[in-house]
Amino acid sequence: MLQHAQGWENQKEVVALPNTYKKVMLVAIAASVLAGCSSNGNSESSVKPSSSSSSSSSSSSTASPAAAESGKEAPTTLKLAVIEMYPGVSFDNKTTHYIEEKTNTKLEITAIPGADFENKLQIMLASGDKPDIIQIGTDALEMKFTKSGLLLPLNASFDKTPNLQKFGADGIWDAMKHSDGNIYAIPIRGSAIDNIPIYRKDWLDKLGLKVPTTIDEYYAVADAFSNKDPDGNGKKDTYALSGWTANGGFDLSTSDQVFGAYGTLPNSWLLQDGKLVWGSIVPGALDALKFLNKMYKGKMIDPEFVTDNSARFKDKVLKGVIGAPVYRYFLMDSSNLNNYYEPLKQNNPNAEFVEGGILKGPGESVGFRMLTRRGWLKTAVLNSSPHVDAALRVLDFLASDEGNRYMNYGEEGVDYKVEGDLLTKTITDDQMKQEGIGQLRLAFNALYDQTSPRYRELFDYAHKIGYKDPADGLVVENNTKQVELDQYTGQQYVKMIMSDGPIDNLFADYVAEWKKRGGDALTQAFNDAYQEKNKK
Amino acid sequence: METVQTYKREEPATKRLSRLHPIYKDRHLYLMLLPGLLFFIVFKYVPLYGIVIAFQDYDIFRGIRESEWVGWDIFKEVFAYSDFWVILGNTLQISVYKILFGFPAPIVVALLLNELGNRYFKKYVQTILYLPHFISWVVISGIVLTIMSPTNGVLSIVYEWFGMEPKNLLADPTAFRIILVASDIWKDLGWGTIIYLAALTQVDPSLYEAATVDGAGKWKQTWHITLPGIRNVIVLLLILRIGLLMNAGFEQILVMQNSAVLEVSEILDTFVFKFGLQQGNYSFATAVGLFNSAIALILILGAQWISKKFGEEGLM
Repeated sequence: MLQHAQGWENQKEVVALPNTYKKVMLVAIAASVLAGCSSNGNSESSVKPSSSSSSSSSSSSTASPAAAESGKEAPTTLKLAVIEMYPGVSFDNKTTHYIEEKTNTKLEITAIPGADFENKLQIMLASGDKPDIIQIGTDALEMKFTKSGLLLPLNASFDKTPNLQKFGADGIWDAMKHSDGNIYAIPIRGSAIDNIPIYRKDWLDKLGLKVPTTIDEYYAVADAFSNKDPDGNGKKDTYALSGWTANGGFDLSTSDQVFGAYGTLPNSWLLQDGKLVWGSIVPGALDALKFLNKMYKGKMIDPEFVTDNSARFKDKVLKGVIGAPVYRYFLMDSSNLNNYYEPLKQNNPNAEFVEGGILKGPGESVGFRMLTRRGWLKTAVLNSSPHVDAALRVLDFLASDEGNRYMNYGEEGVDYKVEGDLLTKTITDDQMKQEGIGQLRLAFNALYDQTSPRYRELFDYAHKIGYKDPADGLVVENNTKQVELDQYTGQQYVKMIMSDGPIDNLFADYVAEWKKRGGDALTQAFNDAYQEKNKK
Repeated sequence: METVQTYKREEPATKRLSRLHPIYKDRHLYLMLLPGLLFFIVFKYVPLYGIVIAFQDYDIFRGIRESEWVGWDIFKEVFAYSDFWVILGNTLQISVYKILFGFPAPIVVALLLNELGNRYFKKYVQTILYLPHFISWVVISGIVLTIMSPTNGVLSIVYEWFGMEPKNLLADPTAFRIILVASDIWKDLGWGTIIYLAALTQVDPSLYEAATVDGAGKWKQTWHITLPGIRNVIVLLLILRIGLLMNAGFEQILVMQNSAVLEVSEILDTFVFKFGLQQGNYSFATAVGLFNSAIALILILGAQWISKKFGEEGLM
């Protein structure tokens, strides 16, 4: 867009010229118009590879001492393009050096900032800058890269990488397997993204209510939370639910308990009579939307649910504006990094969260959405890499108990100590970042040695009430369509929740349009993939 | 760029010099032109070849040379896209509103400032007015969000004074468009005023003196002297502004829009960004961009033609 702006600036210069050379200027204007346009799509020529916008660091200062001592061959230089986990933190740190030493490599790491990560990665690859190891965010991009033959099948060399093979033994590799039987990427998962319904316990106590177990009880709680002044400040400033927008799309997950009670989850697959059905378009979704519409009219949903971003949403949870949403379970435990509990307590010493269960409703209730087994981030090796062995060596080491432990906690005795069962960190979170612990998550598995019993309890609970997505691990080719359809769904859902009149017609129109826009084709593709997978 | 003029003002004494004389004589000027020309060639002309992506099923890894040619297929896909016409309509609507209300605003402010007697006051007002131009849309969006918030915004207090229920205006399609136009005017009002103020200094003061002698008041002077005096500047800027019609404010809308108002606020640029660049549909994005530019070119030439018809100078 910058290019666009420049194009127009140039026209202003042209204006100042006298009446001669008309034609030349006509061409110039046409050209700058067209040039402005071309910058929209022509990423190859007008956008520089990510090096300018990302912190690139090569930790060349350390020639591997291990190699020197044992007389091994010189370390292999590997190029990595990874997501930037800790913004602004250089990779020239102890953890990177540790990996280099252990695997006899030299890592040249380009960290790409999380926003617009995939776009920059693609431009980097297209411009001929081919790293050995890359990271991918979405399934869609993984499919695209596999289709272009860019990625190395990891399973082909599982015999040489036993730790990597073990990494996904419990069903993870099944979920990563493509229709050709190959595994192209290692999923990086974070347990913290799983959701549970949470309630403000202090509010429930004050209003003399119990944690709701049915949808009707939930309505009563939501009403009391919103309209009976649970925080006792005499103002109508509390709500049961809120949500947030990211990139023009609306996050639907904070109201999963309502949809769950009506037997569906929006933007998720349901299994009905052996077939996959899209949870956003089933009749149960309409009932849930009517319920939410009623809540909205009853002032139980924050009117800003659609204009807030995630930071403002977080702020509202911490300030005690929202009382009964579905949100990340970790926010209820104080021992977790970035937890919400301590700031909440600071704002309000009496504040307390309690977890709820699946609400009984008219439908066959379903649980809460969890992070896919395919992870939020994936690591892959490029086929074109001249150092495939070294790349696999690094991944295998990081997948090993030793490597993964280091990536989780750092060096024993220096960064943490173990007393009996209890693991205690002896450095601050900031030191942890500076030392690069958890910075290079190529084959990362979160460990729970240091977490509190409460955290474990919540973790187990989240998994107990979590929804087992029947389509988890299915990949289909045209799933870029899904992003588009999900955005459309969010938009229409918001309209229905905020609607003044009846929403039956709106919903019928939405379902028809969803199908027409490629929903039917997508459903078919997923069902085919599902049958294919279950046949085996 | 001055070269052209110099060349026109040819002097008779040049016969004695070499055949190359016009260029040789102005060689320093040509040398000064060179960087500008290079800039255009490297950054504006060379990238033009990227347009071919719009006629290809472009694969980022195969590159332009090896991607498959598909003719007008991508354009057909664009025009068949379910939301395309809605998005085009939004683009035009928002842009027309911005021109309708945003274009006269700096003229009015410039006229008002021009009438101010106190020079210092005038300078201060001018500076304060154009400060918002330097604030990025992301920050302005944050300010707007904070003002408009029905739970803790300034506006909610105003609502309370009148005993009304606070509304989330940013989620209201009509109000959102007004907010878009208003914040756009607020941001660039002062900046636009500078050009008109500069033009106003060109108006011959003796005309005012003559008008005063003839008994014309301030209104008459403004109508019959000031406005005609800056008419060519107004027309020129209007033509340029119409050329930007397809450019309804990418950054502003991207950071301010939300799901509730997406249907009225999705414009071509945000659509190209989200659908084309973020989801990797490069051919599609280029085709939309090319369409966008073609329309812009037609508009600017049309505005030029009309202005010529009405006897104005226009661009060329």
